[in-house]
Amino acid sequence: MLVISRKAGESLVIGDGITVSILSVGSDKVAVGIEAPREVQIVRAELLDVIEANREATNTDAKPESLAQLFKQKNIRPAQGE
Amino acid sequence: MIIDTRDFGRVEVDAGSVFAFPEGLYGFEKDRTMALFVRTYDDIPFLYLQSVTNTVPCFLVFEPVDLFPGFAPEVDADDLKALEATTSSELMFLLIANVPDSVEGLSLNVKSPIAINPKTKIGRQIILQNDDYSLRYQPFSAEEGRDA
Repeated sequence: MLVISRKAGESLVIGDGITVSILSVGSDKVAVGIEAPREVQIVRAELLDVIEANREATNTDAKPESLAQLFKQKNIRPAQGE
Repeated sequence: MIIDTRDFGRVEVDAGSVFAFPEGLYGFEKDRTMALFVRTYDDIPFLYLQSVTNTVPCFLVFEPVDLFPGFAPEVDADDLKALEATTSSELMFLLIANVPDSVEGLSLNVKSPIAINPKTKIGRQIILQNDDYSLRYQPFSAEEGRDA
């Protein structure tokens, strides 16, 4: 991994058209400003895992019939919603 | 209102069960309105959270009390503000389920639950800082002594 030290107010450029600026540095947080072309998606890394989990969940069949059997077996009765 | 669902065709949902998600859900930022409805199988009620504008996303969701008792989310100030709530006790939480081929492997996303303010009808998927909360908690595997 390339490691570059930067101070608040300094920036660096990635490829053609992406500029990363260090806006401020706190004790445990750094504010980063990013300028990039519209088509470049920028997300916090931990969000990628959540996005993947959501996609997986909506892409799989909920199999309620089989789940109902399992819940009966385990004596679990989900709440009625509201 | 009547909505097109992923699994059940056209379904009538109560207006009170329709929630605004101003930022959508992660990976589905364009779906800003979601409806909650119940479908019962074999006397067991299941809750679905379904986009009103598209048939996907649709999630099978559970209230934590059913499968993750002791759920104690630490909701941060920004999330509370977005939900127009002052404390997390005003909120209702739903855990998104992922059902693999073998249903005993059911997993729940405890790390990033859906928070809903029933009063303002605003919903939001939040990311909890609780380190022991997993994106794929398996209630039944854990019970049998396997790693969750």
